[in-house]
Amino acid sequence: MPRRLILFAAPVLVAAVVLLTTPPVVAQWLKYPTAGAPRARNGKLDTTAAAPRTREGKPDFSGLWLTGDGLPCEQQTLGQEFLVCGAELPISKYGINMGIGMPGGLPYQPWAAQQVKYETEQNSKDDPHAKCLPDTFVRLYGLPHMQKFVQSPGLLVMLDELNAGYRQIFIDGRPLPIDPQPSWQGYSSARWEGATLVVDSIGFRDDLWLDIVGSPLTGAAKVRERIRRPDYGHLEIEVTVDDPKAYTKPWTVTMKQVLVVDTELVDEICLENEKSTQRMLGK
Amino acid sequence: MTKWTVGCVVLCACLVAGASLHAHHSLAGAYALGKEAKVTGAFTAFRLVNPHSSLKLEVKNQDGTVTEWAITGGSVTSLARLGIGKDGPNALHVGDEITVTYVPAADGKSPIGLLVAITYGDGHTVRFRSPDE
Repeated sequence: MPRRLILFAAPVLVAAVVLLTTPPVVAQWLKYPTAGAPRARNGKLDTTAAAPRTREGKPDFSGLWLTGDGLPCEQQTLGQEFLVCGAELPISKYGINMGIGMPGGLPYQPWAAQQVKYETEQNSKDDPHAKCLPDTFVRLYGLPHMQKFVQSPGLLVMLDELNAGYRQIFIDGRPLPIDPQPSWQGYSSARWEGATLVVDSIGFRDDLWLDIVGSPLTGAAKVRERIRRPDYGHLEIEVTVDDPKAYTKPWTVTMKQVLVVDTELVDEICLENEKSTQRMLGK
Repeated sequence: MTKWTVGCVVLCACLVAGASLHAHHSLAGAYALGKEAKVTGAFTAFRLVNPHSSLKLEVKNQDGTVTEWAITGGSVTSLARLGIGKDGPNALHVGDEITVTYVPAADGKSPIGLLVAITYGDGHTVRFRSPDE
């Protein structure tokens, strides 16, 4: 073989071997095995294993979470015509209507009841989520989007895949602000009660939605969460909303989350191609 | 060169026209939710954009004409988690004959739908579900 040909062929051959033996980088990233997760012999996550603990002995909520109240495919419309099972990740029944499990529904103030009635009739055309605005955390627990919880001794951070959002919960019992600048996620301070993290939040905007039908959350709201991790694969988040401006009395729902392993968050920026504002015209 | 340029123009036109339909919340009025249908045609483009992707395929009608269908799918990330990309067994290439299972338009005739599943030429099907299903 001529020397010139060898000089040309060798690097090409090396490059070909490297390309053929290297798995696709994208596949590695989205399918990368989660380290340390307990698994059965078949490699599946052992969701019933004991919940992990921090060095301080507290439950560790860190992980990638998705609603555990997802609607089964057979109930994809839940009597109303909303999300299609299969088109996306599962949406929680609470993501559709936060009062779905309550006799008579949520205890709306008259104006709030009117808003829900109107938006239901109008196919929720004013939904802030549809316009790619941020979702407050109560709603996030029911949406078909993953969140990553990252816990340190004094701070729990919730990272939202949708719009690359975040929320901070300070686990130091700090006092809540007296006159906070209204925000989408409010201001959250937490303390431990045994294995339960009790989170108090205030300081919300006045125009937030908690679900697709338009159940509101206002600046008068106080929200308390009681977060537990009963086993490795599940979270239980009891949410109590005390918002006298929107509701006649406080109400409580318990929303479940399931752990997702062997994948990662990738930012999903809704505004890339938002069309709802021009296309959702109601009836 | 000319053919390549024309091809690019056609492809770009398809992509621009294929702006994804609203689908990440209330869908009432636009689609016949609870129903499913299938359509078979030649894959032409997949617009990978958030919050919803848009799959295009050309379907031959009985009278010999061709209709372009636009099927709204999940987010870019949800597609990537299912392995729908440029490579691998779930990759789509222009001209591939695929069967799409979809939720049809509410009017029963518009060539649009919500993506439920794709059946590839080799017979395997990717259904759009949560990652643990």
